This record gives sequence, C-alpha cells and structure tokens, in this order.
Amino acid sequence: MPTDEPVSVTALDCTGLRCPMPIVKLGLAIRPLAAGARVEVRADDAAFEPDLRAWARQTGHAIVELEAGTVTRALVEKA
Amino acid sequence: MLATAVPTDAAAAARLAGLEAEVDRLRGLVADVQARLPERRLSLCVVSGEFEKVTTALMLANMAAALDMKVTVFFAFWGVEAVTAGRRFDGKTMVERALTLMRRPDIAALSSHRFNFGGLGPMVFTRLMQQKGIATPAELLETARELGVELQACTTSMEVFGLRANELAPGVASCGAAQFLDVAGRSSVSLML
Repeated sequence: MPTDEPVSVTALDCTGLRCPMPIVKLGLAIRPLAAGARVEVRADDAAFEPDLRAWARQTGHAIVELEAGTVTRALVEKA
Repeated sequence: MLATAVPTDAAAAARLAGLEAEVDRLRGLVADVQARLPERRLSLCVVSGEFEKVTTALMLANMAAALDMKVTVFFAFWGVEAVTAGRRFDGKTMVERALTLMRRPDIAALSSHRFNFGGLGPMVFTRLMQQKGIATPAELLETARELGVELQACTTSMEVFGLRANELAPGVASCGAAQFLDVAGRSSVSLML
C-alpha cells in the first residue's frame, strides 16, 4: 500500500574512499537512524557493489535501488 | 464414547508436576546451549606489530563492526605496539626503560615486514594510502574506537615490555588469555595475525 509519509534520506558521499571505508562510513551513518530511514550512498571503490550486497545480507538492511557504474549509487533502507 | 479413562485429580496433578519439572530441565538445557552458541562476533589475535598485519587486522575489525558484528581485537607480544600511545619511563627498571626507548611509540610508527628501509617504507605506504583514499593504521584505530571495537592488550605482553596501562592508547583495555579465549570461543569468526 503506498503511503504519503515522507522518508528521510541521508546523503553519503564515499567517492575516493577505498575498502573498507565506504562500508564503514555507511555503517556509521545508518547506526543513529530510525528503522525505515534511507541512506543514498555513492562510491567508486572497485569492491563497493559486492561489499554492499554482503553488508545487506549480514545486517538485514535493504538495498532499495542500485545503479552500478564508475560511481555506484545505492539507496539503502534501515531494517 | 471416550476410550480413555478420566484421570483422577491426584494422577493429573502428579503428571503435571512431572511435566513442569521436565519443562524446567529443558529450559535450563536451552539456556546452556544458547550460552555456547557462537554469536556474530569477530575475534582477532594480533601478535605482529608489523604495518601490514596491523593494517589488515584493523581493516577487518572495522568492516566486521560495520556489518554489525561484535569485534574483539587482542594485541599480544609485538602487537601491543599498535595500541600504545607515547612512552613513559617513570617507575621502570633499566631494562624496561631500554625496551621502552626501543619499541615503537605508537601506531603511526610501525615498521613494515617488507620494504621497511629504516622506517621510510611505512612512511611512503602511509602517504600513498592517504593519496588513494585508503585508511591508514592510525585512522583505522580511531574508527575502530568510534565503532565500539573492543581493543585489548595482553597483560603478559605488557609485563614483558614493561608497558604500563598509562602508555596504552585511549580506549584500549588489557586482559588475560582466558578472557580472550572465552570471547573467541563464542565468536563466529576467529583469526590470528
């Protein structure tokens, strides 16, 4: 069911950072947020996409959108 | 028509008491099994104070913490050089003072296993890492603290080097082998570096 409730989105730029820092920064950014809050993260680390998938599997947070590219953009939602 | 006889009150009470005792016993057993189950925890034992190993250990520790795992890093022998902050000489024996002078003062001064070249190597590596957006050992230690990684220095190793609690980096505690093994035994991943 669609809802009109605004979802808070935190922007996180991790471009230029290498493993493990993009995921570490994402972990730090999502910690204080409430369940359902979203983080839009950008990163250009070669390991970012598979690492993000592993992060989601391990933590239970959801990857809502994922656009892979030179700079990968992902929208994740806190479980 | 009922096939079973209606039990008497006394028989029902006895059966109930038996079942309650059995439930209690099983509850205890489940609690016991749960206490032994590995938790999502990474336990690292770092015995090397070399730049590469300390960096790798802290990268894994930080990543595990970002994956919501609990993390304990136990620094033993030369590994303690990664969690010291400065040198203190007061109240030490001559040998301890000599050891204090010879050991690395903190994580920013670790020597590398290869390409050390009298400390020039790690300086170049650190510089390169900064240029390439890779966290340096000192940054990783800081982030580990921020993420709540448990940092423990081995008490016996501290004794060997004459290292005092006031020389440990902020947020670093010390513990014995049994405490580390207790934690490692409950960890889903345990590694030694």
